[in-house]
Amino acid sequence: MGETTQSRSRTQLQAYAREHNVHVVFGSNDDNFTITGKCPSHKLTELFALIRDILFHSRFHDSDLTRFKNEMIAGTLQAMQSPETQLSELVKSVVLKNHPYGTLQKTYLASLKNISTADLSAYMKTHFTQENLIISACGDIDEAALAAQVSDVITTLPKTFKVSLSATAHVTGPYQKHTQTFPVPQTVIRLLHEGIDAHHPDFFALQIAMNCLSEHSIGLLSKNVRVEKGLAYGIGAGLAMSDHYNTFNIVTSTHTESVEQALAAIKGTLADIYKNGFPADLVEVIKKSFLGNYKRSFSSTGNIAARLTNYQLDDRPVDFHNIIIEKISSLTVDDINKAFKKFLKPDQFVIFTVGQ
Amino acid sequence: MRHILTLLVGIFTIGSLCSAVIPQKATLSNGMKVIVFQNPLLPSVNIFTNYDIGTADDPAEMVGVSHMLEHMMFKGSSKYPKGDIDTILNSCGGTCNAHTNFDHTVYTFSLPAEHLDIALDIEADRMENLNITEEEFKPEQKVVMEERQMRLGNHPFRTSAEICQRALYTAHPYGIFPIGYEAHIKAYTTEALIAHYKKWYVPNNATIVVMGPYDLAYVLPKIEKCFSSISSKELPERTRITEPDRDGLTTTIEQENPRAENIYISISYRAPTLITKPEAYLAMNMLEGALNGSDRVLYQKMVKEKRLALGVSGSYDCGKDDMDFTFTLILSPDMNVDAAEKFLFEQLAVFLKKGLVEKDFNNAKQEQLNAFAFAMDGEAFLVSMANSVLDGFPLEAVSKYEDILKAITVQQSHEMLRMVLSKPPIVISRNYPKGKMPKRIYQKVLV
Repeated sequence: MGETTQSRSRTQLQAYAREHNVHVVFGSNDDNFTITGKCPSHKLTELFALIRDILFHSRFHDSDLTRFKNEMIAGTLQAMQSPETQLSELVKSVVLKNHPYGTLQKTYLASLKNISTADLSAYMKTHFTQENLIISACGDIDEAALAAQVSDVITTLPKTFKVSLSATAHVTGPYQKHTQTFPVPQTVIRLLHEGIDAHHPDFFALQIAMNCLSEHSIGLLSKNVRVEKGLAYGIGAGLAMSDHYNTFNIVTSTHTESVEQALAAIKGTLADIYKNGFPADLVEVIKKSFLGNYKRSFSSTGNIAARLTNYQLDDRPVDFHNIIIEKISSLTVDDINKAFKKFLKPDQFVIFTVGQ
Repeated sequence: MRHILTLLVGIFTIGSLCSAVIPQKATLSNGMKVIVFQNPLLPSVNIFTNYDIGTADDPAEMVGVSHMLEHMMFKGSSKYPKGDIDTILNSCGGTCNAHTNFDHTVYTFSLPAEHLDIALDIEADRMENLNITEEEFKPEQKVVMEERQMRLGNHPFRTSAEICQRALYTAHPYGIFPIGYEAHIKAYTTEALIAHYKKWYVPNNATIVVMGPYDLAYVLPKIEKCFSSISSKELPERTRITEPDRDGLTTTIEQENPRAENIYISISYRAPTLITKPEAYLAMNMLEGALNGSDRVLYQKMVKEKRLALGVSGSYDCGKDDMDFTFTLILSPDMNVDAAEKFLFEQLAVFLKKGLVEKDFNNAKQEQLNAFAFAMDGEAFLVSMANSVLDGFPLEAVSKYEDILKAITVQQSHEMLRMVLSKPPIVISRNYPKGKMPKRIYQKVLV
């Protein structure tokens, strides 16, 4: 998108953006397509003029499409030479094989070759509709002026959104180890477990539990695997949330010779927490850390607009920042330990490794 | 219905603060430098503590000891024993980190603005009273080894990247990446770390940069309270071997790499360090900007019109000492290396003869100037300015940055290009996918 429109070439669009200091960036993931606009407050009209031109008058040319495809193929093929991408492919092939989230890179590359300019135009008509649109804004702006610009965009879009969405995917196991050989000295490891929905009452308790596992130096996994044993540079634990797929993940990487030792350390830590719970003082520190970091994340207009968008995507209210602070503050160590025991079974992680 | 509009308006007055990047500075009686970048809108503070010591100053047999010491700085001090730094910072909702490069080591704190004091106190205590024990060192040495494997060992182009770096600097210590080789990491000892710490971690070798909602008048007494009792020490001289001239010699490196899916070519020219000369430095930056971008002539001709490459870019790197200006080409396996390189050199010759394309230069300049409109929106702009200052960009030039940039002419950037291209490249590196490297005679005698 933004390569050419009915009336302007890519170079002309770039010149317009530069002249008015307006910026438009496109991005997408498994679930959403996002258009991010940025401008000085007094350039709102010019920003929306550019967005409207791209949104309603984009033109796609075969020569541009071929060039982009070649760039994407080159980038994707090279990315597949990283053990992290190989790990992700392994997870897809085992856990997500019957779901669109599980599309392997080789399938993506084959599909990419067949995409035409007509497909791109059709995609815009199908997906860029009133019923499928969320707009968030933040800044020193005139609310009425912004509302007028937004209204103009909304009313020009077609109304209905008819695409059927994918069914929810689950970690189906079996609970065993999946290994792929790859010529790297350090093995990458991921432990995967069925997660919970973001609207589940125990969601926040489990979010704090994940931070109690992985917070740098003081999280129990970080402490055991990195600080005490020196087995890894980093270890992460977290909830991976998509529209149709929720998991608990533990990720790390270690020398080939240390893989079993690292896995034993992770399993031992989880079993110990399952038996004895998280220490109360650690939970308190992690709660404070979460709240302070949350506050700091509101430091720029871009960050705030992104948060507002996520609230809407997750069907949260616009003042969700107040709710999250209240929810996290009121959690007790008991809440967290109970949720951990209820939803995480240490013997039910699926283990993936890529390395030698 | 999902077309929902959420708004948070009127809380910022960015427009009125566009040109407010005016740093304040002071020097404590012990020689420690203090710099404050104020942004009253920030809910948080970033504190960078910089020591003028990097891996290019490390002993030859222990390259990366500066980096190892960086790791040990989180292992506890007299007032904040093992684990305390992370626990206290997390309790404040803050984070800490650090990075070591060839020329310096920087420790960073980021935390809610009301917790400035605790960060300063931690930093002061570990400047003077760091605990380095064998018990803490041994597992952390293994962590650094894992870091090396993660950053370099697993990377498809590890070997060519390390060899290329050695070829760029045959004598100068920039020739070894800051993390060192495995043999260097194995050679570190607690004694060496302690000696390194005592030698370089002194206030007269440190600069603290505070980026937050407050001014120098607020910050300075707090810094004085924490740091002024630490005594200055005589600093050893930072001696480095000067990289010898190549007499026009170009090193060519080529590898048939089974993990390369495309052809990657880098062509490096020696380029002087200009960080302390704002006009020349920004002219070089503008040269970079004029060469990079999908609407610039180089990309338009090479990638879009002639389809000789998938990507082309030019980048300038400088440190305390001279580094390089490197052109990078990415080709798909079916593209022609000779044709791509020939076109690049011919196009550079056209630039030399006719001058840089004025439109490309003006666009690059406008893009840089545009960034000033967002200078007070978040921390990113101030952090980038602070990093430039710590790299050596003169502090006095920061508040004039916009004016200096506006005054740079296309002729000045053209002179930079002439300087870069005045001698042959020092290194040309080509990474080919399997089966794509031109056949060499030596391959016929391989078993």
